[in-house]
Amino acid sequence: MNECERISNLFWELQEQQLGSNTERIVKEHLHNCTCCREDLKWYGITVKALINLDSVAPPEDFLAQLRSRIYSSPTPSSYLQYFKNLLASSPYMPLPVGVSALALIVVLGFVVYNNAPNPVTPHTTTVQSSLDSVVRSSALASSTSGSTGHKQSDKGGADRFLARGLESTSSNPSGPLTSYAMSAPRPLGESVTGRPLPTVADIIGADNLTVESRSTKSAVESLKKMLPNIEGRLVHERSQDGIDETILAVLIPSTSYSRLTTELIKHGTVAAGAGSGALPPTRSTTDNDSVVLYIRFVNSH
Amino acid sequence: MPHSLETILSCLCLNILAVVMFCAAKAESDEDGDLVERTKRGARDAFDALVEKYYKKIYNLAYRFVGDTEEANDLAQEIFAAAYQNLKKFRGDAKFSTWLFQIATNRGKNRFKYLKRRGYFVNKGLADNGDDRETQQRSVPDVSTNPETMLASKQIQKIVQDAINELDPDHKEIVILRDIEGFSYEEIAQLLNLPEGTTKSRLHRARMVLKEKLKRVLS
Repeated sequence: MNECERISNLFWELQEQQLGSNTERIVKEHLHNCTCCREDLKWYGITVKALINLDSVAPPEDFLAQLRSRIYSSPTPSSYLQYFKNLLASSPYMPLPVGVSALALIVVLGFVVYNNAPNPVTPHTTTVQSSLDSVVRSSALASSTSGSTGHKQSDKGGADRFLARGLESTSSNPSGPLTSYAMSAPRPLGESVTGRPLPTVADIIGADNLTVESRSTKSAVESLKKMLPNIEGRLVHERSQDGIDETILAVLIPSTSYSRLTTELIKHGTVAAGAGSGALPPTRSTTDNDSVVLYIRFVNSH
Repeated sequence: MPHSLETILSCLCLNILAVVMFCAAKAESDEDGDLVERTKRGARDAFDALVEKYYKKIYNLAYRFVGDTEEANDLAQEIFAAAYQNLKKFRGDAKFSTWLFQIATNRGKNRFKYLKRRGYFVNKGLADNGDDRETQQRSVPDVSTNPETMLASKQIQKIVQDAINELDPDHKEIVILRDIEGFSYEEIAQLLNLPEGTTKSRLHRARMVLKEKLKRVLS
């Protein structure tokens, strides 16, 4: 720091006459010899005078009347509602960091709510949902017309019972489960808030067994096999009946991959809940917290 | 002997003056205190009396913060409305006037920041100037020739206000409180919750910034 800077730092004390006599003498000596500092001090003085000489600005004549109507017409802030109203009213003056923090909080809350909410039907799956709606309606119809037969057959095999239960639950509330869960990622199995395990989508719609009616069952089967590694699934069992052009695949997939699998299947034809009583393998479909076994029957649609 | 008598008399006079000033200040604070208590009990005329007493000063302070009569009007009303709504929280630790000006300073500073973020002062400057800046500067009178007269001119007053508008909020509030509103350093330190030394050094820096701005425009 040079001497001129040190001297300019003392302008305030000099102006307010708060310098000690010795310092004042040194400052005045410097000012006498330094034109620059002298000029600076002159402008410092002008600045202070300019500020002090600023005229007082008179309020408008109706200021008091306006103020009275503003204060006394608004209710006293006794309620919580009024408190939040005041808080929001002051929000335009909140500093930028507060705004950014609020935005971040909203994003985090939104993320938490999104994760905890039932999976919504996304726009790109709307067409798929409508397809499934029709499938479920037809399944429900089939169930109601051949219900007793289905129950008799279910005595023979566990999978039939599972299938029949699924169709019953679908037909009892045709617009329910599929409306809220159709084609979206199934909710992972796990503990709910109450400690009870949450049902999978497959449980809800009884779709652990599916029938795919396709024009080319072969390409549909191949396509499914190809996509299995991509969804971390694997082929558990395969059975073909050449005479009637029918293939049954048992696949083990993570619960969360259910929607991807069904989306893929729909590309190859109409998908219906239930793998068909006659074609079911003796082993019952199983689910656990992470994965689901699906029996998928591919039949020719002609 | 006469010399010592003179000294004693002058000391006595000083003491009397101090007592009178103290009594006046106490009476003022007592008067405000009474009005505050009555307002808390629901007497509107008491708050009206407080408003009547301070509204010109508050309006002027608001104007210096925002540099526009409409905004100043709204801000001053907001300050009194806030004071009225929060009066129940006023415990009387400080003087009512200190508390009121604390609200005014905070609100003024916040409004200034808000307007500045939205480019209010830039737009206002452009609208007010109309012509280019060089033309305006050429027409500014030379302050150094006759400072007293020139500083009183409307044009200079506007230039000073524009320079204040360009200050950062911390500098602005301290300049307004000390040089325009005439608060003591002690009062400013209390208002801004700052040590007195910081108040003084900040004021000096603010003045230096203003000095450079005014020198650029006026010289």
